Amino acid sequence: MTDIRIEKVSTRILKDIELTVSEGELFVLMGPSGAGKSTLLQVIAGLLPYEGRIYFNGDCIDRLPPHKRRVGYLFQDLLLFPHLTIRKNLLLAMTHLKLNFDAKQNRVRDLLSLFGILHLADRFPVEMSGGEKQRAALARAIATDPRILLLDEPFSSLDERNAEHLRDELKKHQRHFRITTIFVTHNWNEARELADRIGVICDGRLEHYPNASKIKHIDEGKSVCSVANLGYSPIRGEEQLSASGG
Amino acid sequence: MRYLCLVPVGLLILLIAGVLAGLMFQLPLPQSLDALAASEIYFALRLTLLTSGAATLIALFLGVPSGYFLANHSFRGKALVDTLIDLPMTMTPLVAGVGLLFLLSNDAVRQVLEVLKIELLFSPWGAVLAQVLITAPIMTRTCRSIFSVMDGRYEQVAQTLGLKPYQVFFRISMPMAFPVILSGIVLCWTRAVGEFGATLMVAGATRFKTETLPIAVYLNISSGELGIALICAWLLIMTGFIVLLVMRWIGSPLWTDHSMKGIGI
Repeated sequence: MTDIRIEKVSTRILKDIELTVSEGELFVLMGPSGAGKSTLLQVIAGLLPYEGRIYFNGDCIDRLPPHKRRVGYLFQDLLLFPHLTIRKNLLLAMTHLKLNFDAKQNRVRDLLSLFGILHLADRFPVEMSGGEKQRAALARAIATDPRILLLDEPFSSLDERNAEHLRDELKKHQRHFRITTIFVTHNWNEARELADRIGVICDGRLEHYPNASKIKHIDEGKSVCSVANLGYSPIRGEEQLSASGG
Repeated sequence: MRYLCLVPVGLLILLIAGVLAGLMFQLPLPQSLDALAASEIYFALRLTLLTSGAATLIALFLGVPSGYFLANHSFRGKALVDTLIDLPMTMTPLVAGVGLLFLLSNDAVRQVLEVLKIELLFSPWGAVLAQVLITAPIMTRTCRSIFSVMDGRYEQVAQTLGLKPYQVFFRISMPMAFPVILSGIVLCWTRAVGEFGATLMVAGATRFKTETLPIAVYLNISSGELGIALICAWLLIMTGFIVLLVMRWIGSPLWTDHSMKGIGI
């Protein structure tokens, strides 16, 4: 169980981002294209240089390279390794885990069963449907035993029926594993269904909304940045910390 | 238009078939079969396989990391380095061989090689070096092409999955690039098998010493031993033919990413 604290993180796109995500919380990050949502995830994963400080459970991780951060990162395009079967994709994600071969095989089986794709274990990604690949990629991200989970619009390429089904599953698994999660989306429905808390990035700045239910009736067509103009005042900085704590 | 295109296709086939027929029917069959008994042919075949195999292996070790580096890093003067590495592919091998000969004949270089007890000039290792000079740029270019079009996010995902940089290279980048690298290996080996100009300059043309198949063709044509020359020529042609067949047979692996089809995976 890990909490994340981000202090004054800046990049070429992001400006003084302040964010705390509590242990086991699912924080949804919204914003228009190019606002810096994916950039923030890449910064947390250590894939982009940044100024500022990031803490996992109070420990500063700024000097840790990506492979030591123990972050489960699900890219928008999933990026399952095409030359490996799903089983081997998951086994590869456990390379750094100190488990013997049998234990790793068992963990793969358990995860694939949990996500309902055990029967696809020996298939290559190219032989699977979009929804199946989505499950496999999520299972792979969790297979690493991550401290936090970063999900970058993972359901954007699915039809609404599949996406809804997978959202339910994600919520269930996120609660089951109690993994602190940051979920990026454009979709208000998705945000409302999943979020414990919502943040909106506009022009590289992050605004927080302590309670997802407060923005329930916002039209799907509204741009995320217009939320601030609808009377739902965002809170910032210290206020946000206390709100998340409550 | 369709029938119009058939004319150049037919002309091309006629030309190639004419060359093959010329090599096949130059001598009566019994005379060609007699030539098969010459031990020189087997020496040349063995030396060709050994030198081309060694050269391809060295080209692989030089070309893969070089291609990976050039594909993933930008630096001042990169265009110049790229061009310099590509240069041997556009140079006449004979000229490349002359350059290599002069380099190895240089006093300082000779002294270093003597201290290291390495004999390159007019030895089979000289043939290997000449073949490396011609093939390593091909391998580098092949690898640079595949690594530069490969989606770098696969490597980023691998890092977030806990793989160290060298693990990312050997377990993700290399296997994903393997079909293209394999075709590069085949291309380099075929080129090394048929290498003549540079090999002649550096290793010389000594029977039963530096006599690769192309050198054997040259020596035996020069001395009027047409039978041996033609058998060696046919061995070279068959090598190329088999390689082309194998490459077609290998085709695309099941997992091939469609985005990579454009570069030959």
